[in-house]
Amino acid sequence: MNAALHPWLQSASSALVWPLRFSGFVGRGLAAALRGPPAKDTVLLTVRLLLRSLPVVAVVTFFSGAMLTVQAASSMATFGAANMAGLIVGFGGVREVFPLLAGGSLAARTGAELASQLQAMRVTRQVEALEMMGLDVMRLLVAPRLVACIVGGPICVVAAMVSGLIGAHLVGVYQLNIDRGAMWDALLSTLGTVDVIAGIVKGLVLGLIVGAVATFEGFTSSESGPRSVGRAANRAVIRGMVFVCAACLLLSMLIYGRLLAGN
Amino acid sequence: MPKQTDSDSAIGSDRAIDSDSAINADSDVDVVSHENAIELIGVTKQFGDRVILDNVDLAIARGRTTVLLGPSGTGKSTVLRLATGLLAPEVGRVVTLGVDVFAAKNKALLALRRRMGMLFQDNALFGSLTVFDNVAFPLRRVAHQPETEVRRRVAELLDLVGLPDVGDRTPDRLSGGQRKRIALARAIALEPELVMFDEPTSGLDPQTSASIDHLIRSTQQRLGITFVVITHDVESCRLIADDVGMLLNGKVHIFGPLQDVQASTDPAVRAFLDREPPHA
Repeated sequence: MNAALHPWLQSASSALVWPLRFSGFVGRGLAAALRGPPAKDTVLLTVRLLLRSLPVVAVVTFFSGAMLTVQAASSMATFGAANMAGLIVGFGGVREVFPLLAGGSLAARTGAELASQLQAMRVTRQVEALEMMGLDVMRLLVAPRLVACIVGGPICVVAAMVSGLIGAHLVGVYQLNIDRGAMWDALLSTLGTVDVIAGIVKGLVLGLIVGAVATFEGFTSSESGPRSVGRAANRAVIRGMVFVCAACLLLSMLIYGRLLAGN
Repeated sequence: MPKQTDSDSAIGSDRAIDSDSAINADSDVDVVSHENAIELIGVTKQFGDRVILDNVDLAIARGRTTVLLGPSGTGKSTVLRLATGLLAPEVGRVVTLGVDVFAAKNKALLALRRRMGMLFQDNALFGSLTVFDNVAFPLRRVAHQPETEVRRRVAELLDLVGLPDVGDRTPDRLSGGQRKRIALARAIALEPELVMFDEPTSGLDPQTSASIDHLIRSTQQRLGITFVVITHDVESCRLIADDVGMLLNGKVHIFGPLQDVQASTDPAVRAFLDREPPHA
C-alpha cells in the first residue's frame, strides 16, 4: 500500500513545494543581482541574448503582424471597412500579441539556452568547482542571467512591436492594397503613451519570468547525466511559456482593466 | 573557544578576497583543532533509506597524503563532500582546517573553501575557457591578482604539471591525462592548505595513471600540504599514500600508515588489496 502510494505522494508533495522553492530561488537570485553581478559577464550575456533572441522575435512577430492584418482586413471588409484593419493590429497586436510572442520567443530561445547551460555546468561539476573556489555561485551564475533577461525583455518587446507593425504595413499596404494613411490613422488612434509604457513593463516582467524559470530549472535540478540537460531546457521552455501567458493576461487586466474601470 | 581571524580565513596573507564575499572575522566560526586537516566526529550520512556513513570517526592529519580506499558506494566521495560542506550529515560534526563546517555561516564556509582545492573525477574544467583561462580563473576571480602576476603564476603552474605549451588550447583538445594535470594546476593555483582528489586516475590507462600518481606524489612533497585522495586503485594507493583508510559497510574499517595497512591480515583488507573477487 505504502509502496503504491509513495510515488504519487512524492509527485504531489513536489508539486506543492515547487512554488515555495521557486519563489525562494528567485528571491535569492534578485538579492544576488542587487549585490552586483560581474559586470563583464552580465554585458556579454545581455548582448548574446539580444543577438540570439531578437532575430527570432523579429521574424515571429513580423509574420504574426502580417497574419493579423490579413484576418483583420478580411473581417472588416464584411462591413466595408478593410481600411480600419489598423485598429485590430493596434489593439490586438501591439497591446497583446506582439509582447506575448516576444516573451514566448525569449523563453524558447534564451530560456532553453540558459537552462541547458546551467544544467550542463551542474552535470559536469563546474558549479561544484566554483563553489569549491569559495565563490558565490548565485552572484556569479544566476544574477548575470537574470539581469540580462530583465534588460533584454523590454528591448525584445519593443522590437516585437516594431517588427509586427512592419509586417502589418507591408501586407496591408502592398498586398491587400489598404490605404497607407487610413491604416496608420486607425492604428495610431488606438495607441497612446500608456501602451508603450505598458509594453516596456510587460517586457521587464516577461524578461524576469523567463530568466527566473530558466535559471531555476538549470541550476536547481538534482538530476544527473546528459539527458538531464535536455529535460531542464524542456521544462524551462514549457514552464516559461505558461508563465509568460499567465503574466500577459494578469498585466493586461491590471493595466487595461483598470483603464476600463476608470472610464 | 578562539575565534578565527581575518588572516586565518584568507587563502594567503598577500591575497585580497573578493570584497563582496569577504570574511571579516566572522564570529560564527569556531576553530576547533589545528592538528588535523579533516575530522569526522560521530558522522552519520544517509541517502533516502540507505546509510552511507554510520557513526564514523575519522581524523586526517595535516601535511600528509591520506588515501581513502574502498569499494564503490562505500561513502568515500561522501567524506569529501562532507568535508567541504557540499553535503550535510544527519548526525555528527565535521571539522575541516579547524573550522566546524556546519556551524559556519555561508561567508565563513566560502572562506574555508578558499583554503581548499579539489580535483574532481571528471575534472570540472570550464569547457568554454582555454587551459590558460581555466588555471587563471581562481587567480582572477577569487584572488583578484594583477594580470602580470596571473600570467607568471599560470606559467609556473603549467610548468609544474608538465604542460607548459597547452595554454591556448581548450580542454576538449586535451587527452584525459592532460586534463587531470590541468585540473590539478587549477586546484593548487591559490596555494591551498588542503587538496582533495576524487578518483584522480579513474578512466586513465595504466601508464597515464602512473604519471598522475607520480605528479601527485611529487607535488605533495614539493608543497608540503595535505592531500586527501579517494580511489579504489590499489596501485595508486601504494605509490602516493602516507596514510590509508579503508571504508567498508559505512564504517572506517582500518586506518593507519601505509605500511601497517599493507601488512594487515584482516580478511576484508587483504581481499581488497589482493584484488580478490567478492564471494558469491
